[in-house]
Amino acid sequence: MTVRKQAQEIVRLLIICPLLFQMSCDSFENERETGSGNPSAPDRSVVVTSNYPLYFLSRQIVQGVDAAPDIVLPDIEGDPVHWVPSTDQIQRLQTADLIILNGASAEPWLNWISLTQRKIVNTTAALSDRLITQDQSVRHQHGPTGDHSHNPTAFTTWLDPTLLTQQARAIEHALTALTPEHATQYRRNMSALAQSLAGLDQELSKVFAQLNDRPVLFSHPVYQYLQRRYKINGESVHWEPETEPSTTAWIDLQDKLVRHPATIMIWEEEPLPATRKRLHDKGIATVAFHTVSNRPPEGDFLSAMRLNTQALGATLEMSAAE
Amino acid sequence: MTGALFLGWRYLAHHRIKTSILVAATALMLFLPAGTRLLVEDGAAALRARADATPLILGAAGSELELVLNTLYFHAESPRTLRHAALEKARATGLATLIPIDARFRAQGAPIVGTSLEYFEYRNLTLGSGRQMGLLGECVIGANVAASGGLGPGDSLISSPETVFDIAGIYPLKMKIAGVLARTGTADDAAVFVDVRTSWIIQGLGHGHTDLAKPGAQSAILDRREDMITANAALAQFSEITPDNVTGFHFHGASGAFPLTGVIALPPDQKAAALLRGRYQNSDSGLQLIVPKTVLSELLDTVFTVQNYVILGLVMLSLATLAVISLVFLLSQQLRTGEFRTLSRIGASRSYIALLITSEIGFVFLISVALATALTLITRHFSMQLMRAFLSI
Repeated sequence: MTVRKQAQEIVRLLIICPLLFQMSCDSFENERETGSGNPSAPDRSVVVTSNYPLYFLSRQIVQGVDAAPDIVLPDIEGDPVHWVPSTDQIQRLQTADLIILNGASAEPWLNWISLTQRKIVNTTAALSDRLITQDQSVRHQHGPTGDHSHNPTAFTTWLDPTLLTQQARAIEHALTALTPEHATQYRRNMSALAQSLAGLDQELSKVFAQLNDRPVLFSHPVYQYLQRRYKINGESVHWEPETEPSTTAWIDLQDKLVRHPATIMIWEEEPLPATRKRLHDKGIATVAFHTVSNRPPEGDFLSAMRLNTQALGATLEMSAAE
Repeated sequence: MTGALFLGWRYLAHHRIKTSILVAATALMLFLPAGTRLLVEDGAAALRARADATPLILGAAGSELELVLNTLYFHAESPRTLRHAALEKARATGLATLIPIDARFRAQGAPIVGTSLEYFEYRNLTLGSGRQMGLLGECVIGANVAASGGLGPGDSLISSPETVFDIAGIYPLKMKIAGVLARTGTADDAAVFVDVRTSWIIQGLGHGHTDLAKPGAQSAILDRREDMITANAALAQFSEITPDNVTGFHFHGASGAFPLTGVIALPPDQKAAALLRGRYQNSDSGLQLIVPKTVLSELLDTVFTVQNYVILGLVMLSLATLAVISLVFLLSQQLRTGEFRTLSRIGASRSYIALLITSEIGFVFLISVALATALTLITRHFSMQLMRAFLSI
């Protein structure tokens, strides 16, 4: 091979390698969006889920089933409750065979977009008597009459594993109606999933039992179902982990601590170091208990909840030692 | 013989005005009864086709015909309304798929039809261009609306007040056109389709404005108490729904109280249809569940009765026209006595002259028949457009 030919080969490789790399990246991105390790077959049904817990449940139910529906979690940045679907995402929702929703006000975007009603599955529709209504929003009116408020239901139902099991059953029924030929496998997977969720419920019960009715603070009012399920003596503030609380917020906290002397504060994410230090100075330990509403950086819903449990357990032990 | 035909043809060609009047009168005499019948039958077939494809309509008690015309053709000026809760109640029976229709407003003269995506599936409406409506405030328009306004995906339409006297009643909403429907040859071609919630926003039941709880909204606040914020007149409402402000849109009151002009009910089978109809018979709920086919059949029976009288009148008129034409020919023969005598002197036989006169009459009738046939074919081709223009369907 001449030097000229060798040079040509090298140039060719230099062109092809980045292209191959780009193609592999694209395919990875597609996997992230669809959530499926297998390329979508054109004849497979498409099921879109509105948050990560529902995606996790659906994937568990169809696990190992050949030609099962393609379970999709849209590419949502941040908390799915604040999601405003893009035009492409709306079209994807409209062309899906099934849209699995959490219900309980977790999908405010439903109020703004047009979808086919018969494709929608509200997994908490049968749980209306167990949903928690919030009554903390500011009322407003335009002129002298017509006052109103936006009064949503607490939406993090998945933090109560017993509710989550019921939601999983609703998904199983919907998937069975969509692809009845896989009913037996869905039922088998659902049994295994119910056992896993029962195990999670036991773990959470055990760790929260250590609180023994000690007052707890929640950084945000998103733990209502967790609080009710495990009888946590908790109160919520409206603090954001990435923001330094204002002076008013600290004064309000001080007032709250007088009647609710909490020593532990549960956060959605790790708070800023300065906030953590100031809380520590007040004798309040902080712990992150992720709601896992969106895809965790690693692992799955169960492993993320176990990490939550371990972190909480460790904090409680440390707090007790102090 | 050809000489007599040639002379007859030349005579008609020479007296163009007289010939044209005779041909026009004869052609109309032949065409009018046939054309009228054709128009009515084609119109009736089109009306029946849409009504036959609509099993049941739920609406407010009142005129059945108005309910059918408004639900199928978006036709009525100020239709009676039922509450959305009635749709939810019917849906809860599980006996039918329910499609809401709220057709009260207009944009550039075209009816705005608030409905759900099920409507497009049910009517087999496909997109000619663009995409389906997604966000509130978006619309898909019929092919005729697009063609007449030169509109396409990405353009906008603004809703008009319900009536000219309703200046302060509704806010004009700027609606973005998401797609244009493929032509179907039905009333859907002339409509603007929006989500039913968009039509409620047009009515003023929902609106969007800046969040009063946010610091930037201070100038629009009249009074702020612990659990209540009152806005002043400076609070500007959004006149267009965009991805950026859509989260600021909300409705006042329960959706169950919001109005619909009709609900299309699609029961899966006859049994479900019968059960559903049974629920609204002798009901004092202020609602009626009607079979559009039956209502339109009653209307068409009346139309056909009137049509028979009209055709009878036209036949009488045709006979009178025939008599006048005969008189014209007879008088013409008398005026042309000298001409026929000259023909006889130069050797034309009586039969030759008779053939000449017959050929003239024959040519007039042949041309008239050809013209009447052409008019009938044109009418058949444009009958649907003509019916829509006359009936606004």
